[in-house]
Amino acid sequence: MAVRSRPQLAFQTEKENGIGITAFNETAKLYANVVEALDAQRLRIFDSVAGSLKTEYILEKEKVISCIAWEQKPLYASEQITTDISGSGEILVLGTNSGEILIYSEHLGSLTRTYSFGILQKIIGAHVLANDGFAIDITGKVVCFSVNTGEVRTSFTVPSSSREFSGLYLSTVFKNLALASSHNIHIVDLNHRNPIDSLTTHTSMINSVVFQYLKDENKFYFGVSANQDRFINLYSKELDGTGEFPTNTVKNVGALVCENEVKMLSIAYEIENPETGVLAALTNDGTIEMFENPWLSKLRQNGTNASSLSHRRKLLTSHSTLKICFCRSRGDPPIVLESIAFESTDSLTVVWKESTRTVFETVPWRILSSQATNGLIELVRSKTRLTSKNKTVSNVYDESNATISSGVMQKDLRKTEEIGSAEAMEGEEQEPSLAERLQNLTKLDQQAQALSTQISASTSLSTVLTQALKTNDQSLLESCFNNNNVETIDTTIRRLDPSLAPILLDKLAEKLALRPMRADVLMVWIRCTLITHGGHLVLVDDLKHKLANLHSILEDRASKYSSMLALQGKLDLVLSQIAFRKAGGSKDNAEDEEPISIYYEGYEESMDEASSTGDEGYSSDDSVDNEMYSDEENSSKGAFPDEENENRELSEDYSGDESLENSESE
Amino acid sequence: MEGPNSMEVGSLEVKKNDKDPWSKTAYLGGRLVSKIPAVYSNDNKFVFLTYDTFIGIFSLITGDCINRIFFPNNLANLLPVAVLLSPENAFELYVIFQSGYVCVHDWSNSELLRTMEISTRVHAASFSGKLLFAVTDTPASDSASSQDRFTLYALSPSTSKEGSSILIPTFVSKFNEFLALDSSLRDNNLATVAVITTDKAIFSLNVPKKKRSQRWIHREHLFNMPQKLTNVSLCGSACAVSDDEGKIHVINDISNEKFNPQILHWHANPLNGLSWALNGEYLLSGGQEGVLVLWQMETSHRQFLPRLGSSILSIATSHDSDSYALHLGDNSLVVIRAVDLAEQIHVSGINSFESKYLTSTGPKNTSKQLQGLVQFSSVSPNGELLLMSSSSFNGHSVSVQEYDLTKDSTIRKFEAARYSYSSVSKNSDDATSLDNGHVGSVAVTSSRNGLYIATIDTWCTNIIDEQQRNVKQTALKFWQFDSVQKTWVLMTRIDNPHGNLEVVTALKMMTSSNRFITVGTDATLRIWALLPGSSAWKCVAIHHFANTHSQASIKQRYGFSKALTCSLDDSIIGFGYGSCMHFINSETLEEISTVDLPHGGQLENAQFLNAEHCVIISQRRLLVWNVISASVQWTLASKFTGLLASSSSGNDFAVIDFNSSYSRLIIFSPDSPKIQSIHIFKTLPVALHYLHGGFVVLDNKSIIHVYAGDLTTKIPSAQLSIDNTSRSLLGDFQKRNVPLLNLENPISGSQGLHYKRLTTDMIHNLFNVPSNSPVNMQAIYNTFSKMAVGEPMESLGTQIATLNTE
Repeated sequence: MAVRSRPQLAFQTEKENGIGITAFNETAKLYANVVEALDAQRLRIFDSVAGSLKTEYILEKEKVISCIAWEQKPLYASEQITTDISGSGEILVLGTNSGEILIYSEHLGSLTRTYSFGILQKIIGAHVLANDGFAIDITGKVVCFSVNTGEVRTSFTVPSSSREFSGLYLSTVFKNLALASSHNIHIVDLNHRNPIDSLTTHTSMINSVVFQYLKDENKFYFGVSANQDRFINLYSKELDGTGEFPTNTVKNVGALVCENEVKMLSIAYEIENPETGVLAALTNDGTIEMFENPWLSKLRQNGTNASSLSHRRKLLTSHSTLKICFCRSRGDPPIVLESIAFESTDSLTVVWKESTRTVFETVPWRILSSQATNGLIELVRSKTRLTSKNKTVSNVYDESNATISSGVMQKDLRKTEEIGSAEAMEGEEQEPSLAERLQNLTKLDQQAQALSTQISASTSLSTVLTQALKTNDQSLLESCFNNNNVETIDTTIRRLDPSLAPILLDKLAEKLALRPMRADVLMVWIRCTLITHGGHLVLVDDLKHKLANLHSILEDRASKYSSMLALQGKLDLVLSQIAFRKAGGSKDNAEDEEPISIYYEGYEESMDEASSTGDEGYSSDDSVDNEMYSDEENSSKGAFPDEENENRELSEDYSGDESLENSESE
Repeated sequence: MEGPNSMEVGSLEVKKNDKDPWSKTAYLGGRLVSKIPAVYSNDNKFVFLTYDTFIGIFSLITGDCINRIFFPNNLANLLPVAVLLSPENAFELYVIFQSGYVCVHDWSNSELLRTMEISTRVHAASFSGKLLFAVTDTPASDSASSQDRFTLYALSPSTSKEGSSILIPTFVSKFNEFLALDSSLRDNNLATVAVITTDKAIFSLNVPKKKRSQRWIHREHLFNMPQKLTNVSLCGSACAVSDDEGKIHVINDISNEKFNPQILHWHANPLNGLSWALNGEYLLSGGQEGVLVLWQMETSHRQFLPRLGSSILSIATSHDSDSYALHLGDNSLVVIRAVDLAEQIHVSGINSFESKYLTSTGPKNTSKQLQGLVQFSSVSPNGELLLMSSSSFNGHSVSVQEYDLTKDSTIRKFEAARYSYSSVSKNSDDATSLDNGHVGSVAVTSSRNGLYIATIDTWCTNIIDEQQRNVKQTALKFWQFDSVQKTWVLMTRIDNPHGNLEVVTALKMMTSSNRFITVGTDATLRIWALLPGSSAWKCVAIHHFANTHSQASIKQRYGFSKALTCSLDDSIIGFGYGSCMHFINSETLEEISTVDLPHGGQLENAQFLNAEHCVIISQRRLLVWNVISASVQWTLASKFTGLLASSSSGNDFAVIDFNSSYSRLIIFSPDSPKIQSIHIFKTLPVALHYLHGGFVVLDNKSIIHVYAGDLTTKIPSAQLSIDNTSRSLLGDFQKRNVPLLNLENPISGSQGLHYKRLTTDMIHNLFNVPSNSPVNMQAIYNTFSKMAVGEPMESLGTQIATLNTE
């Protein structure tokens, strides 16, 4: 594998955690992302209009998704995907680390095809345009296949000096025209398997490419952004209209500059009026920068021949016309957004994460642009905790926040005798109707129910614990952990904010590592936390790393468990055997052999004589048995706990096994 | 006012163009057939819903429609009576129509496999084992027992000499009334069938006989009560019968000589849905209350699932009793998980409209029927969503539904008025019988930027005024969209916006600003705007256009019209009153011009097309008015409904006219009365809009017809038609027991069709391979050939797709 530079490494790890593998479909109405959920990755599909999770699909454990893309509708005629693959809905194409292509049907809610071509390594880009599937792996190997059959049409390697590729972008206007990206952009004619142009664009890995075809100019424009780069480079490629793609007609038409590093790009334009394009760049800090008419170069606009190169360069670069950011309160740092996509040229759909909930918002940015101050729109979105608790949005009629007036009260324009009736109306308003009273009752009911499910604060330590966790107050935390009442622990954990659960687990692990003897109390805390907040924990990104500490400690402690269990089993065996022999052996023995000892009253001496005259082996056996028998009798019921104590000691110096074996052989 | 001399009078002549730019492209929505419960596929992954004209196949995982099977379109009035999965082949779906046609489809690819024909009308059908039971009309020739109008036949599959499959009918019983049919298999694998009439249940039990396989024992149970029976459900030898009083009569063993029905009574209203679950351990029932009741038969313990939002029309249970599919009265299907009674999927179509506006009186009274609705539906400003008022519960129209045409599903539905769910009465069709009034209609329209919508709801009380009319209370409401919560939040409610007892006749948004206009029967036009810096809406301008106080006769009140329009730049507002269209300046509210439509009757609708043209429709006349030159462009006489829509460019507009038997969608351009395109509807269109670049017509069957535009996905690629060559005769009941074969067409293709599919699922099962791994038939074949010469078994199922690279 190629030697990776640092930025690439950062880029790759980010993707490997399942963060950043997201995709909007073409209409920006469906949104897919891949989240890491403990052992397997989950594909989640959201409906961005309703803002709800539509389906969740748990992928197989060993499959690690490396890229994701929705089906695109090509503008040229093409063969359709059969309904048993698509379910007459849209399909999603997923690429895995091991070079497999998975086809997921949104309507059927399951993987309908899995293709592995054997020649691909980690897939970094996969696309589907009708029946044509395209995939590129990290080494630049491109495979074009049929989605319906899985048959490979062409496969070749993009010849390039760069040893690592970052993506493949396909034109929906021209068949077989694609852009492969690494540090550089390679324009590829898939039909002839040859790169038409190679452009050196960025010094770091390219993360996003958008393009637009202007029919009037017969030019193909594209914008390129890269990791850790504030600049978006713009190029145009002239086409000659013969259907073949000419070489060396690419021109740099300018650059757009953002205030922060660019994370992704999105573009929208009207088909009828392609000049009204708008490009949005999402930067790493969560700001969206809008560039209207990005391709319109200022050189052309001014029509002047720039004299100096620096002047020329200045003209070529342009800043955003509008910035949009979401924040908790005015002036706060912006909320980091997950993805953006244009719904239409006027509205932009954005996604961000509110703890574990995914929130969608459609921004009518053109309407809002009038409210911009210094070219920045700050949209305040306070953390809405209520919504995260009751997920179902009620559609019941509610006028609690509405202004209520009457039409006849719109008096200022008209004076008639209707004032009296308006007052009568008001009178009616004051007395709530039966329906209103009923609704109030149900509201009260719901409130009462909500209250009853809440646990009273008096029996819980949640306030103390929350404070301790937030301020990292060790003594306060200790005072909480000293409590060993299971009920109190349970109520405390239940009232605790789920977002604090990973921190709490971490602290518990710390305590457990320091003082292993406190395990019995601390384990109750851990258990309660996992039970109560398990649902939340599963959805936390990067949980594996957060709980690695706890895992190692528990693992360490549990490592002795199996040997302890073996010991317990063996002891159980021995003790049971003893008890068994005491009861008189197995049935077989009882039938075959004579009773171990027979007591005849008044014949004690003669029996002794008989035994002394009989064979010796038998008598010695007999005596052993008798001894053990008597031992048991002496120790009576107290023997068991003693035994266990003994065992603990034994296990600690690992001599238990040998002693056990000895006793067994006896 | 312009005289008729400058008019260019056109006539309705259809000129067939070579290529119609407004051809039909999509077919969405649809109304579920209430009598046919949903059918689960054998693997419980899909559910089949029967609509008026097609069967929708929905995934139970995602709730999306994955395929549609359209009924043959060359036969008129196909009414499906039963949709059944073949007991022999899990991919064969039998659709039985009332006319006697039976279509067998492969549901996995919606291909029509074969058609059959039963020579009389069929009323119900059900599979039990391999026997197909069908209730048909008694053939006319059987004059002996002419009062027994219905006959039950058992059709057993058989293979003819030619190899085609046919069904041989056997007579079972006759009866003079028929309500419902159900069949099941008893323990000994023998079929049982139950038929109910209004007051009795007839059971027919199949009993084995030595030579011939079928003999039937008939049992009857007469229910001595005044109630009508409504439904029957069989499970093994247990039977449940429901009546319209809400009682369920359970007969535990119908093979027993003596019936001792156990009565379960909770429902107070007629019961429609009845289904057994878990091999007869549970019984599910639901009716008009919209409450699903689960009866545990052993203990008579009840479990309830209330708040379903609408009445239950039918219930189906999945094969593994894991979920229940409830067909609700608001044209939706909800699948409930049996474990936690939580909603699994909700297939929510276009809600049925208020029945009293759209009763079956035909298009003759269309304009009058729709008069109660001010503006029943609207389009979101970005032209993607359809907003419409919809009925929620037993004809109460309180909610507003947002329908996405691209997804063909309801996105949002919210209540626009307060409504008491407790007011369910037995004859709720009759609005006057309701004690505490009801919400009559909801008008809806959205503002230009899509952030606000306005609704009007009318509360009909049963207080009667001096003119013997019900007093109506109107509320105008303004809503704002909460983009995070994704709901509409009420901002302002204005009671009686046009004064007490006055009705709002029209509601429109202004074209380029966030303002709404209303016209009311107090002869005023009011403009409503959002007060700056607050969340309250207020009336900002009033225009009086007639003196109603002097001549407040009923006749004058009829002069108020729904016609209201606003020019593209908001400078001119046009509204109808009497037979005249008035144009006023939106700023000064001064009258600019008045257009009289002579002999046109009531004004119905008006709309600005582009900068200068305005289309005005009255009941009998269409007129294109040039506002700039104040002249009539052209006019046309026909009988018009008030429906009108114009394309976004303003170069085309569509109107709907009607005659006694059908309605027509006609598309014109404003320049001349030349018809661009014409489409005929047998159903009653209720809404017309321009969405997604095409004209969208919604009819009273909840079907959306789309003409042109970018919605092309859901139209059947080639509409199926019954082809005579593939038809086999199912059975001729005139000479029963003598099966007739269609000898002239020995069906060649149908022989192999029974088990023709080797699906990937089967292959995965056969080879024990994970279900998502690829299947390569060639590779499997290769493996098999290798296995013959001793290839080890491990290589099976791990084949990699072969590369066709050179």
